Parts: sequence; C-alpha cells; structure tokens
Amino acid sequence: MKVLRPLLSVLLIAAALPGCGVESPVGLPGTPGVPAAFQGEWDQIQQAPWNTRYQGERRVTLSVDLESGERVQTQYIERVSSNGQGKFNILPLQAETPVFPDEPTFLTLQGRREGFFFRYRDFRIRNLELFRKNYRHLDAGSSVIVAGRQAWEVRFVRTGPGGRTYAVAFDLETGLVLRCNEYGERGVLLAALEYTSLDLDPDLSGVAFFVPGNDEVSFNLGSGEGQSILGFKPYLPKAIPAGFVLHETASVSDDMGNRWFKAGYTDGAEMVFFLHRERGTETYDLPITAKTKQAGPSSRDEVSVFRAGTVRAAQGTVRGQDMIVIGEIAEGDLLRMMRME
Amino acid sequence: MLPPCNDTRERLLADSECASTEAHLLECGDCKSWWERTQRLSLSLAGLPRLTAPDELTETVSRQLSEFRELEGDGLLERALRSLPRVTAPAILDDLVLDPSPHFESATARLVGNLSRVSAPAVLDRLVGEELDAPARHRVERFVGDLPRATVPATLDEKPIEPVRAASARRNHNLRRVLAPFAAVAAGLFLWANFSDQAEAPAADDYGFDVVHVSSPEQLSPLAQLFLGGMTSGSRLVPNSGEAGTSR
Repeated sequence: MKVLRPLLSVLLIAAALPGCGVESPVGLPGTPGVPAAFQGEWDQIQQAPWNTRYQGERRVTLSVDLESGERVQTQYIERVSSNGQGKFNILPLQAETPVFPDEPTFLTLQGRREGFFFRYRDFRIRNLELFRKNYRHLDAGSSVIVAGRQAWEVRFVRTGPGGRTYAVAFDLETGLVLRCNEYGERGVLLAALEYTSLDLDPDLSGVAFFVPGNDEVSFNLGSGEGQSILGFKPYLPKAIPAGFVLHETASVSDDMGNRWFKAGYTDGAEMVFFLHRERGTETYDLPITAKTKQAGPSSRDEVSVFRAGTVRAAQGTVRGQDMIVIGEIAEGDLLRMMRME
Repeated sequence: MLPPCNDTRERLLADSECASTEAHLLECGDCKSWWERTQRLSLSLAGLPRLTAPDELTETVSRQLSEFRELEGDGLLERALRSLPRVTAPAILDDLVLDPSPHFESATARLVGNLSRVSAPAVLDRLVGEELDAPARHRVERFVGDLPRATVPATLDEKPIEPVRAASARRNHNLRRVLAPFAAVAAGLFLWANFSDQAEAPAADDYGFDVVHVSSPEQLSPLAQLFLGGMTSGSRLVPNSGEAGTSR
C-alpha cells in the first residue's frame, strides 16, 4: 500500500496554496483547499505503529542538559516488533555511549520502559486537529532514504515561545516514522530516533510482546467508572498548559500497589502527565522532600521540582492530594497544574 | 536457639497471629527482633511489583507441562527420571546436613559473595556520608522542626518591670526617629532590586504551596522516576560523580 504517494503531491499543492506554504499552519491533508480524501492517510499514519506488522532496529540518541551544566549524551540500539494487531515489543540491544548505571542494568531498565517508549516517547501525531493548531510545517518536505526505504521528510515547529523543531521522515509505504530528530532552541539536537533496518515480513514467533506491569485500566472520565476503579474521585487540574487538551484517562498502580489516577494531555504530539491519588493511611512511597507539613496556621504544603534538560517533574501533596506532573513544559505551567482551586 | 524459640518461630510462621506465642515474645529479645525482621521482610516482598507472564510464555509452559502429564500418566516420567545419571551431592552440602552450625556462616558468606552486587544510588551514598561526617548536626536538623514550640509563661507577660520597659521604649523611640528615613530608602531599594525584573514570574504564594528544587531524580517517588525515565529514555540524570556510568 503506497499510502503516502498521494500525500507527496498534496504536500506540493499545499505549499503552493496561499497560507499553506512555508511557515504556515500545518497545511497537510485536511487543510482548507486540500481534498478531504487525504484525511484518511493521516489516520493511517496515526495508526501505522499499531496496525503494521514489522520488525526493525533503530538507534536512539538523547541529549540532556543537567542543572550542573553537564550535557549527558545517551545512545543505544533497540529492536522494535509489532504484530500489526496492537501487540508490540521493544528490546534494547546494546549501548553505544556510556550509560547509567552500567550497561546490563541500563538494558534491563529500558526493557521495563518499553510500554512507555512505544506509546508516548516515539513521535506520534496523536490528535491531528490539535497538531495542526499547535505546529507549523517549515517546508513542503523532501524525499529521503532511511534504512534503505523511501521516505518523505517534513520539518515541523511547535508554535509559541521556545518551540521545538522536528524533522520527521515517514515511510512512504506504511506511514511509519522512520526517523525523527527533535531540536531545541538554537538548533541543539535534543533527541533522535532512526531505523537502521526494517522488515515488513518478520518472523515474530520468538517475540515476547509487552504486558503492562502497572495494572493500567483505561476508562472514560464521564462514566463514573473511574471512581469505582480508583476508590476515590479523580481530580483534574484546572489550569492546563496552553495548547494541550485531555487525551486519555486511566488508573495505574505504583510499586506499592497504590492506585493512581493518570491523565495524559497532548498538544497533538507531545504528552504531559498528571497523576493523582487521595492520601490515605495505606503504604506511602513519596520521599520526605515532598510532604504535607504538620497542620497549623502557618503550615504550607511542599512540592518538589526536578529538571532534566527540557523535561520537568513535580511531585508533592497539596491539600491532602498526592500529585505528580511530568512533561516538557515550563515550570510555571507544571506547578499551576498542581494548584488546587 | 533453644527449643522454645524454635517452637515459637515455627508457630508464628504457620500463623502470624498465634496467641500462644505472645508470652515468649515478651521475654525473649532474640525472637522478638527475629519476628520484627520477618514481618518487615514480608511487607517488603509484598510490595514488589507483580509481573504477568507474557501469553506466549504461558502457552509454551502449558504445552510442555501437558507433554509431561502425558508421560506421567503412562508411568514413563518415573522411569525416565530413574534412568537419569545420579549426581553426588557436593561435600559441603553433606557437611551442612550432618552438622550445620560450624559451616553455616562461611557457606552463607560464600553464597552471598556470589550474588551480583547492587550499588546504592549515588545520592544515598552522599546522604549517608554527610550524616556520618556530622551525625549530631543532621540529627538536630531532622528533628528540630518537629519540636513543640514553647510559649512565653503568662507571668512574664503579666509582670513586666515597668522602669525597664519605659527606658526601653524611650531608647527605641529615639532610634526609630534616626533610622526611619534610612530604613525606608533601603526597603525601596530592596524592592526595586528584587522585583523590578520579575513582573512575569509567578509568586510562590500563587500556588498555595512551597516549591523545593531537588537535584536528583532519586528524591522523587518511584512512580515519578518511572515516568521520568520514560521521558528521558533512561538517560543519566545526576551529575557524573565518577562512580556513575561505565564505558563500553
């Protein structure tokens, strides 16, 4: 299925249309003036990782600027498998840079993160309408070869201050993202992912597909189902970072078996996570740096913030509610999500 | 370990709420501390995440077990097991069975020595090091916040020494007259210097909680670390102290 063949011509049309060219809002299929029939191809691109049967090896590179000023570069190879019916596996193979704390432990830990990597870390267009609002394409794209396959590479930039730029190469046949480079301010490479091989007819008999280890149960927030699963009423933050909307809601368990409400927000591509639970008398695993002080007229709750490159994490107990917020957003946005109105 | 201890421990392992063991636990410190350790260990083990085997593994094991069951049904399994060559037990195992006490500790030490070593996180090493360097200081820092605040005795408020109070008031009045203009100018400068360029920055009070910046992900909960590790692809997030990370 040559999914993206028509897209190539549409991109050229889009570039030629007034208001749809360089530095315009994402003028890919679905843009006014562009045949609506191409919308289906974006659906295919969104679903490609799930409904394409494939196996491939890819190189993952990540650069993190620590508070100390040190830049940590991590690079490793992993093998991705998908049965095209919703099951997947990511197997870390080998580190190409020094890794933390050592290579065997690193590879073991990466294996435990496969669910997160496949669902959230890899570049996805999660909400096309929102993606078109929040991202602009910088050019009409160009033909490239990645892992020996024909691909079409387009550059996107997130609108707003400090917007990151993405160069994404889509496989012309399947719509899979074969390469994605993410750049920060002044063009610094923040993350890169590139397939070095791709097999569309793989033998998956020896693959142990991902099984969630955190008892995750998705639910519809409006149904009341969440409260019965969680055992408490889920709380949603009132102040959401600009451009983000609620994307998914679920219940997850921590290592102590405590259930948390997980709300994932997206701006069309990136994700921000808000986790919350009511503080009870049961086992509690937040360290003492994030605590509720002794009750009293002058006591205030305390929230801990940690920054790693562009990623920020905040956690603490606010008015008896344990909260964790993580995402590539400004610290103010992060903290406002934790403010109880 | 005396027979009553042995008996108590066996009964506790069989029934953790066995009432008949209470008297022994009250008088035997060894058993009491053993029971506390056992309960802590039990809690820790219960807290470990439960992992589900992949469907493929379950299928494979079921298939192989069914093959074994077929063998067992025909009595073939027993015959097959009997046909296996016998392997003699290591001498140390024989020694341990015959007389466990002298060998137990050395055997345990050897076994523990063979286990893979897990290093403590760097931040834990640092915190423990700081604590050992100045234990008194850290104990005071940790507990002083929890001490109840002492209130001023009522008698002190009710019976001030009037002449002293009057003299103090006069001194303060004169001092205020001299220092007031300087204090006003200093306060103005302070406010200008600190807040003139922070119009956009949200005040801490806006959130309704205090914000603490931490320097290591290990100061966050395991759940937060899990998400953080996912978003940063498992990168090292603590400054290189020389002990973190290894080269290929």
